[in-house]
Amino acid sequence: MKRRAKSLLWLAAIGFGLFLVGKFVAMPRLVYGESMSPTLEAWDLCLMQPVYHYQPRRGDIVMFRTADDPPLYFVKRVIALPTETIAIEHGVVTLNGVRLPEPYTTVNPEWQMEPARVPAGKVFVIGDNRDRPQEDYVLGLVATRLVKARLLWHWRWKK
Amino acid sequence: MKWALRILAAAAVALVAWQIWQRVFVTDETRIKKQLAAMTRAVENGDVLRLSDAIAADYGDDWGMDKSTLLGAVGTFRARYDALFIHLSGLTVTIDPDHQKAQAVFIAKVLAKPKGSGAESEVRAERFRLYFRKETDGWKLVRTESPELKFD
Repeated sequence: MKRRAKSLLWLAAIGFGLFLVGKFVAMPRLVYGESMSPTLEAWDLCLMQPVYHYQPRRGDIVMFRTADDPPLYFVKRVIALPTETIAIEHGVVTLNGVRLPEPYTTVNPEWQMEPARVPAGKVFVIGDNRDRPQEDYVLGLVATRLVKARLLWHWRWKK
Repeated sequence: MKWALRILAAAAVALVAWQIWQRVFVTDETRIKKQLAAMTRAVENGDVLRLSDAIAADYGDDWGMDKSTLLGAVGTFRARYDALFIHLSGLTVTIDPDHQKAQAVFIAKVLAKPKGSGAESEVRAERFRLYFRKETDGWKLVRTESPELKFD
C-alpha cells in the first residue's frame, strides 16, 4: 500500500513537472496549414519557448495571436524589425533598400509590396511558403505584445 | 396488453420528464452549442437537409448568400472532398438579455482530404461570428460573418 502511494506521488510529481515545463519552458504545439512550408509542414510538432516581453530578432519563427477574442494563433517568421522599411519587388524582400538573403524560401516574382516603415512596437512577419499568391497568407505588421512564443525545436512525423 | 400499457405510460412519463428537464435545466447557451455541433456534423456529412433545419428562411451573410445558395455551396464544397473534419475551438456564446437573439464566435479548423488518392490533406483555420434567433422550433442561424483578423 505504502509502495503504491509512493508511486502515485512520483507520478503526480512528474506530471506536475511536465505541466510546469510545458507552461513556462517549452510549450508543445502542432502546426496547421502550410504557410511556413518547407521549414514547418502541417502536423509538425513544435516546441515553443514562451516569451513575455518579446525582443524582436530577425529570422525568429514566432507564434502570435490575434488581438481579439477568441484568439487565433499563427506561426510566421519575423522579417523586419521596428523602424526598418520593408518592400517586396518581384518576390525579393528588401530592408531599407538592401536585399534580404532568404535561404529558407523561394522567390515568387508575383509578390509585390510598396515600401512600408515598421512602426515601433511592431514587427513584420511573413510565412516561408511563397509558392501561393500573396493574398492567400497572412503577412504584415504584428504588435510585439501579441507574440507569445518563439520556436525552439520542431519534429516531423514523416519525412 | 397490461404490459404494453405500462410501457406506454412509462414512455409518456419519460417524455414529459425529458421536456421538463429541457425547459428548466438546459440553458440557451447549451442549446446554441448543441445546434453548432449538429450543424458541424451536417457539413461534415454533407447532410444538407439537416443543415437546412438549422438555418432561418431570411438567412444572409458576408458573402452575399441566402439560405438556398448557402446550402448549394455547402453541397458543392462537400462534394470536392473524400473526408472532412471540422474542429471548433475558442467558442464563446453571448445571449441577448431578452433571450431572443444570440451570437457565437469561434475558430473553425477544417481538415479536408480532397478526392483522389494522391492528394494532400488541406488544413484551414478561420474565425466566424454566427448570429442566431429564437424561433418556435428552436434557435436558427440568421447571419454569418468572418471578422477581419486584428494584429494591432
